[in-house]
This record gives sequence, structure tokens and C-alpha cells, in this order.
Amino acid sequence: MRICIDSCVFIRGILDPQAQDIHRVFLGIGPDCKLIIPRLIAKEVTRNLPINFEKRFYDLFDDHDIAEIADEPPPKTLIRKYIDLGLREKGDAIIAAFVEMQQIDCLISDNRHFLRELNTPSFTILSPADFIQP
Amino acid sequence: MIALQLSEPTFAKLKQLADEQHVAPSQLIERWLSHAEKSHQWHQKILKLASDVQNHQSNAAQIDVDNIIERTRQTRRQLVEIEYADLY
Repeated sequence: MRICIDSCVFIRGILDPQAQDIHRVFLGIGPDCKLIIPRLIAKEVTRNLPINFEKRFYDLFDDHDIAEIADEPPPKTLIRKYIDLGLREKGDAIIAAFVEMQQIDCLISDNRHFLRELNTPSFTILSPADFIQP
Repeated sequence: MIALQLSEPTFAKLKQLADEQHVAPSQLIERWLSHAEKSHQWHQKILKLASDVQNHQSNAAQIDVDNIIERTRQTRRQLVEIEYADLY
């Protein structure tokens, strides 16, 4: 399985000791559950973290085998597809296009626009709490 | 170097999986061990991170999910306008 975690989820997981749902998502990452995020999400995360947590975030990705930051941008046609599907924010369309391009199975997000407004057969969109449900 | 003695059926299954991935059985085992080691490293990092978060009490009182979502949305807009404008 391949998953992508949205920036708001990373930030809550890194700053909130009570975010048990997200910590369980993090602990589920492994050979059978590979994490892939675009550089855009990595930048969003580090710009919203205290300085002493920035390095810790990038340290997580030192190992590029089960957790990876990908630099390749999605094609414009795919971004246009998600704008046409109703994602008004261009950045959200870029993320959705990246997820499809990377053949990711599940995007984990707290972003209500993803959770409520986008309906696509290409991948599943779940909150952290829903993702860890058995 | 790790020495393994496998039963005939187990080796047959291993050989089948290795053939499917176009590698030697020994390479497949090395790959599994590498995955396991990296998975272990990832778990250690997450546990360390969780411990650091627990000790970072000054931030613990300020967590507001809506605020985090809005901040990241603003950052996404800024980054897209500045760095990803040629993508759409």
C-alpha cells in the first residue's frame, strides 16, 4: 500500500501530544505501507513548524525506502483534471494530481475540501482517525 | 553473513517469489532484512518524535486544528503562486 499524508496532518502529529490517531498512522509506516509526499507538502510542513522541529521532520525521510519526498511535479493535464473535478484551490489540485501520478492508494488529510468535495475513483481520501479504523 | 537452512517447500516458495521479482533468492532475503531494519529505524524515529512532542509543553497548549488547517492552506496558496505557477 502507498499513502500520502497532508501537511495539516503532519503538523498536528508533530506538535500535538494528544494526536494519537496520527501517531498510530506514523507507526504504521513500513514495508507494507510506504509513505510518499510531494516536496510541496514538505515545504508547507516546515514553514509551519517551530525551528527545532523542522530538522526532525526531514530526519524522518533520511531513509528513502519506506518514506520518500518526491520532487517530480505532476503533469498539467492531471492538475487540470482535478480543478475540473471541483478542487477550487490550485494547490489542492496539484496534490491530488501528485497522488494519482504516484499511484498512491490513500491520501490522509484533515482538509475538509479534500474530504468532502473531491470524489475520485483514483484514490481514497481519509481522515487519520478513519484510516486507522480496522 | 547469515546462514539459513530452509525446508524444500519453503525454498520453493522463496524461489518463486524471487523469480517474480527477477532477483536471486539471497537478494530477496537481503531486501526483506533491509526493509525490516529501515522499518525499525522509522519506528525509533517516530517514538523519539512523540517523546519530544510530549516534552514540548509550550506548544501543547496552543494546538488548534482549525488554525493548523488554515495556516497550511495559506502557505499552500503562497507556495503555489510563487513556486508552482508554471504548473497550471
